[in-house]
Amino acid sequence: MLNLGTYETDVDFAWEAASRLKHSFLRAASALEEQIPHRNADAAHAMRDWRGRYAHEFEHEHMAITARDARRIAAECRRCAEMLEQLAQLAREENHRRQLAREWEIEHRAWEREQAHRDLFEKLGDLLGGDDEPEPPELPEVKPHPRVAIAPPIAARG
Amino acid sequence: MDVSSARPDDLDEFSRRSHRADRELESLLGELRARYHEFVSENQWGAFEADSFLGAFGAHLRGNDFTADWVARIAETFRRAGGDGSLVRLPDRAIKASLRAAGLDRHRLSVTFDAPSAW
Repeated sequence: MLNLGTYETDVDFAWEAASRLKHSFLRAASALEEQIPHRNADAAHAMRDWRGRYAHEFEHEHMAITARDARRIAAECRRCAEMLEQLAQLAREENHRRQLAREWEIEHRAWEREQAHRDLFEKLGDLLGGDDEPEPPELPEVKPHPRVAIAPPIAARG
Repeated sequence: MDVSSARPDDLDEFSRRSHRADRELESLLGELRARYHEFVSENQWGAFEADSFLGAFGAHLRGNDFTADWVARIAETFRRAGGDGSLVRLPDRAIKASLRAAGLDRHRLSVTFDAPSAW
């Protein structure tokens, strides 16, 4: 049995909101990455005459975590932007499939109307030479599938 | 006796600049959250989930603020001991007591989050 799934309308994907969100993720990633060398330079300036236990804690705990987490969050922001782009690409592919299905439906209805007006001899001829019934599109329905960014949780200090 | 030394002005400068950089990131995070909620509420095909991650982004900024406040408190402790631009020496126990009194005598932790996902 023919099952083309849903095709009457395009997918209800929030195109503009997805694009705005993607660009927000990319802006945040860039800002985080650009700040790292400035923060490190500021820390180096603070440490030029800072000695002792707290200077060590500042460098090896506070600043190490600041830079490492900033890099992790920036990388994750970029992965989020990629996931949104992949979701949008799947939505475009599904819209293409639905468009083909709608075009096929129009073509098939025209063929059915034509068949209704054919006489017996023409129908007998179809048995020998084929009836030229339009074939439905063979593209499977596109459904978003799970995509999970790789983000190993880090709970350890320092 | 363990002793630390520093120039308070240098530490304060770090603290000021760190806070300034965090306000820039805070503004971007605010925009990101608004765009995220906009997309999640409008979108009807597929889904995207990043609540835990955006929470971790906020926790990172709070961590940076903690570091800046921690450094500023140490600068203040050095300054009270007698110096702004000059090099000051101070027992570590005095710094620890000052941090404890300000509620800043704790470690900074890395952020954790569940991986964002789309489906």
